[in-house]
Amino acid sequence: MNTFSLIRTRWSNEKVMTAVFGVLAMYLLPSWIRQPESIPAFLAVVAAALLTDSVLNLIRYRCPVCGVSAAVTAGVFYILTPGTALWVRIAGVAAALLAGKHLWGGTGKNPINPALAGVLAIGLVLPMNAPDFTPQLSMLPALLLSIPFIRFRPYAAAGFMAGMAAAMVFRQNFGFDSYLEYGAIFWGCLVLTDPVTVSPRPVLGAAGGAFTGAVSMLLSGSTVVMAGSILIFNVICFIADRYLELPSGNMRRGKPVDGVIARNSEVLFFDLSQSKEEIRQGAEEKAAVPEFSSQEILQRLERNGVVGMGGAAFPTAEKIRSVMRAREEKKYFIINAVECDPGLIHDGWLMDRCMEEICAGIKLMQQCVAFEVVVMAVKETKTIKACNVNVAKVPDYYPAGAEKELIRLVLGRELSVGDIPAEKGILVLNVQTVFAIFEAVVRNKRALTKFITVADMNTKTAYVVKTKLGADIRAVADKLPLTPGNIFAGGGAMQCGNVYANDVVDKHVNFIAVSRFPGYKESVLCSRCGFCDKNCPMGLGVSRISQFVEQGKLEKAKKYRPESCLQCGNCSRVCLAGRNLAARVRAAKAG
Amino acid sequence: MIKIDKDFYENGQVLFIGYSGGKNRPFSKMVYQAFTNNGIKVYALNNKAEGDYDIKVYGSLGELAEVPTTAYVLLKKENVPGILKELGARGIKRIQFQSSRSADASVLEACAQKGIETAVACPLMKFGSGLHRLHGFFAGVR
Repeated sequence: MNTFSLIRTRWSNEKVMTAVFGVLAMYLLPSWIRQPESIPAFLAVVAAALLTDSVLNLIRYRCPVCGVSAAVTAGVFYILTPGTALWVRIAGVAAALLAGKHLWGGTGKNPINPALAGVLAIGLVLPMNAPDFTPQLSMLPALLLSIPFIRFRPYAAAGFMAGMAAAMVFRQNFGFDSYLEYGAIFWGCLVLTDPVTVSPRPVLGAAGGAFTGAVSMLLSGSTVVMAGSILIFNVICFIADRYLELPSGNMRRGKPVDGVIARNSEVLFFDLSQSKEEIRQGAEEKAAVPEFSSQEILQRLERNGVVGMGGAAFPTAEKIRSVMRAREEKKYFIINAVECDPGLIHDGWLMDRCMEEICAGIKLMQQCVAFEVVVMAVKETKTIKACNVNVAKVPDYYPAGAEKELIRLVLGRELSVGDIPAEKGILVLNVQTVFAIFEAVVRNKRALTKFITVADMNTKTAYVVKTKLGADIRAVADKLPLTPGNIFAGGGAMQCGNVYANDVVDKHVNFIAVSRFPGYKESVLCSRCGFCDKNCPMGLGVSRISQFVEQGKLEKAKKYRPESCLQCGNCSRVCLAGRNLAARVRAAKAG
Repeated sequence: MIKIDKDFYENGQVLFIGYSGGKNRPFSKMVYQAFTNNGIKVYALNNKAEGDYDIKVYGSLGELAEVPTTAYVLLKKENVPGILKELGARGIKRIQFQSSRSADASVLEACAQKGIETAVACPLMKFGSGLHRLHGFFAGVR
């Protein structure tokens, strides 16, 4: 089943570029108020850019493509070429788009900023006035609104501003007016944060930005110098990103993802398993745990078909045997109760209702293996009933519950890509698996049912459902009070796929959802924002991997270690081009 | 005026013939999402079985356990006559063509002879949003 994140960013490249264009318009607003006759000239330059871009895109893609980035190019170009004849501006912006963008392969593939290339070309052959950076309060809104764009290339933007500040110190020219005068904030935030032409690398970005800022400030008043220095920086970034060392691939801390369920919504439980036993609400009796030998426990687990309930569905007895065989002196047992996927609620529900059984399952594991440390890992936001095991609170982010990430958080041990935790003496079991261990060993019950979360993402409600393995997913959804819509199923809200006829609840399914289809528009325009790389918890070069997969170059994609991918879906969630990048990385992994 | 209502998609299902995994993927995906977000189950078909990252794409009608009675065709018109016979034989009663580039007068005539009801309109005019609906309004799609 092809999976993807049901949660998507509301932003897209087109929206970002529209926002940039809005900021440019805000910047020009004071001059339009003073000289309304300049508005038609601006509109003519923008129209010329849109026309040029549309025609070239139509030739390239054979379908209409949003041209708002061309409007931004026109805006930057217009501001930086004051006092130039209109026909020169129109011809200049068209030539800039052709030579600075489309000759390189179109949007997202150009190594240099097309507007600045056009400015430099005109500045070298024609006399050109310096742009108007006269300090005035009416310019403040545009400056303030430009600040959020720093997020795209923070190191380059910060370097640019630091370079300008250093130059001001050198020139003994202080005061807030000078910042405005030289447009430091504005150009630092807009041009030096262009993800297409500026590298995301911290050192290169900061150093290059500082150089560009210092040169621009020291030779103030010359647009040509500023454009030239930024273009040199663009070329260095292009070469560095193409040829320098790849990202390290170390695990990074993830980021919180908003839950899909309204926080105050009541959680209802539905038992669709047709089992006669009822889930005890607030069990008071202690679950009796007779003494079992290791062999008895493992035999019962195998006989009753207990597998990992977190989604991997690996045979639990086999995993325990690996831990027993491990030559490590100290052995560890981590009960994974983190439930980091933003769509899941059933593990928390189970802990609230069946902690006695879970604790009994933990005791059984302790009878089986002499663990040095036993820890139950829960989110820092979760409070659990007292149980006779240590509790480790982990930060609330996604994917804190990924096996190796959890080991790092709880034990402080970094395992490399090829390492299997069980072979290192570390047993990590999902909390529902521990519950299933209790049922299989003490009650001698086959693991034919499981608890899952069924969510209605249209109404932000969710239910905990106990269902039989093998149950038809559509039939399960039909039995619940859900709004009509598409049905998705998978490991969680971040790893879901379309449900087709005859799809059943198997050991990998933890989550069923009714939702609108997430907005994967699969745009041809990647802006190289790098959010996919930044949000990958494994630090993979997702953008490069997906690029090579699309080109059919799987061998090259393999160099970026797609086998380390956790399939968490974070890259798909944040992609501004609306691409399902996780599926591309999976293709590289399988290829 | 072209009238397309939910009854056109009997049982809330449609067979999407010509779902593209290539350069037209964004458009195909947009149509797919528009259908599904309006409660219409889509079976995507492409005989080259190019596939997609998110959606199951069937390679032939034979792979489908149940063939919907309505089809949406996103093919070049020269490729349409070749599939009409099979569609008629598999019980397709209604066909929505994307545009006149998918169906000319001879194709519509051939459909009429087989007793297949036809409509020529982009699904986004009915199920899309914003400018697509406006386009539909001016195109007379109701």
